[in-house]
Amino acid sequence: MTPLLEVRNLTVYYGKTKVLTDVSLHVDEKEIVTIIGANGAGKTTTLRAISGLKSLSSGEAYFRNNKITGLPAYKIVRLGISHVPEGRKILAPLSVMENLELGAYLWKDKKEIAGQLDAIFEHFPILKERRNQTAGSLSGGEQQMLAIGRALLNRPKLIMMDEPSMGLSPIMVGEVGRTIKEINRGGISIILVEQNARMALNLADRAYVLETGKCVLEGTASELHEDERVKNAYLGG
Amino acid sequence: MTPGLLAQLFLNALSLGSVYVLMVLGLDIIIRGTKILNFAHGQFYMLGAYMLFLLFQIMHLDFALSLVLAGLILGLVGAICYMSIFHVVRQRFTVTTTFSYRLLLSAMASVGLMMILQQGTLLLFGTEERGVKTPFPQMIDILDVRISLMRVIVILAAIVICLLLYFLMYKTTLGKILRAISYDPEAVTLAGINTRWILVFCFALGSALAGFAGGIIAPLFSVTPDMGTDVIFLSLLVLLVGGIGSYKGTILGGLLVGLALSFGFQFLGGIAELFVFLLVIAILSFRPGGLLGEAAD
Ligand SMILES: Nc1ncnc2c1ncn2[C@@H]1O[C@H](COP(=O)(O)OP(=O)(O)O)[C@@H](O)[C@H]1O
Ligand SMILES: [Mg+2]
Repeated sequence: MTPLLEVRNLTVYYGKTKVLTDVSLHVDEKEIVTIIGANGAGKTTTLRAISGLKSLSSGEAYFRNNKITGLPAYKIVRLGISHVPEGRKILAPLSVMENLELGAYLWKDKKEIAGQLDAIFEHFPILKERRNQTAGSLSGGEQQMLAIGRALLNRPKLIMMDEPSMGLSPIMVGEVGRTIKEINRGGISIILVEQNARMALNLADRAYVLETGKCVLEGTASELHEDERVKNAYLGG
Repeated sequence: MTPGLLAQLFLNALSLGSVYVLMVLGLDIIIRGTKILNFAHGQFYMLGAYMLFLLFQIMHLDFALSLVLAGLILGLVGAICYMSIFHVVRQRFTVTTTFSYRLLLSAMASVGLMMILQQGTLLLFGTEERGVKTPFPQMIDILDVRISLMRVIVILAAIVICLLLYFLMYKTTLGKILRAISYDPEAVTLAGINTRWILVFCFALGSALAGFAGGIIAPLFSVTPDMGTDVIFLSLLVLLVGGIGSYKGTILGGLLVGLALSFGFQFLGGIAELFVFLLVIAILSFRPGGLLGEAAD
């Protein structure tokens, strides 16, 4: 079976600085894959390269057997890859509802959108309660939920989340984790980028470890959980 | 001062202010969407006035139709300018191009465009002042006060445009996208939207507003190739006073500058614009972000 997403030898530069060297990874249907690594390792850049926000100098990516490298970002979204960027990029001046509607922009079937909105509101009742407030007035955790809800409304096959736990309280981190599991149970594959390696390895099926732009380790989450190097470097010994 | 003169001055202030409001709403839509400070905006205004001269004065089309056409044509001119100049400039930017450098490069490109449009008009039409006869020469008598119908029409037209813009921005999907793109273009891209056409539309809409403003003022002012230069600087002042990113601020700023100009000309004569600058400096020293802008605390 060919993987849902296959990424081969991504190499990316910022100006003259090489930030990714030959990064390869794949994601199967219904899988949760995590990319862990220290700050500056290149995790965000990897996601941006896949979603078309950052151009590559070499390498290619295939999604459901279609080559996506070189496509503009908005077309990659249309193929079924949603990207929840780092720092929960909600549209602060727009209302919660408008944020969600923008997520559903690609879909014209009003009834289906309404159904999906109901599902999101059921999962995140706070968003329903605050649907007419500006998104900027939400708390950090609520904004993350909104960002995830908006991505779900793209109706993706794969969601890439960039440090969804960043800046959240431990309770909210747990909540985000449960949400990710639930989305995945609905049949959506997930790439989870995290500095919080413990949370990520608990959720994921498989994991990749990035160090200074190179993929240095890969394996099932339980293998990496037991790996001495991972324990020392990312799980606090 | 008689009540008649006072009413006259207010009416002049409101009609002049209305034109600035239209100009500055256009500038604001462009700068927020495309991050371009468009100095050629005044030339779009000037071209709008020439459109009225051609369509209404020479070709005898209906005034309202001429105005709408002037807006549409300038919108098209704006779209073409954006795609052939600003989009090309933009594509030369890389991730390492700083925001200030981006702003400066596109502003310089707009200064070039400003010169081309102005000199082109000069070549085509000469320095001669063109007049556009007013389609509404009637004076209305209210109590003891005589007011010009044309000026009332200018004010009403500006109100209608403001209402239409409000509807566009807050009641339509396109408006939602326009507000979103000015805050975070990447988020719009990630919703599967091709932002390129949205930016073209932003620029076209802003330019159409300038064309419309120039068109509606044509019967009141003389039409010359350099009529856009003064107006752009005053428009930038209004933008600063009102604050970037606030429609209410723009309207307030436009009316304030209209008042200052109208009363300034009456009582100070030629130095009225100096008076406006001083007023603006005073306002900005108390509220550096403008009266109501995004940057205002
Ligand atoms: N916009 C940018 N311009 C220049 N260098 C960048 C930019 N974004 C990231 N980098 C560099 O690329 C490297 C990888 O960054 P990033 O992908 O954000 O890492 P991570 O997400 O793992 O923290 C870092 O060295 C960072 O300094
Ligand atoms: Mg990062």
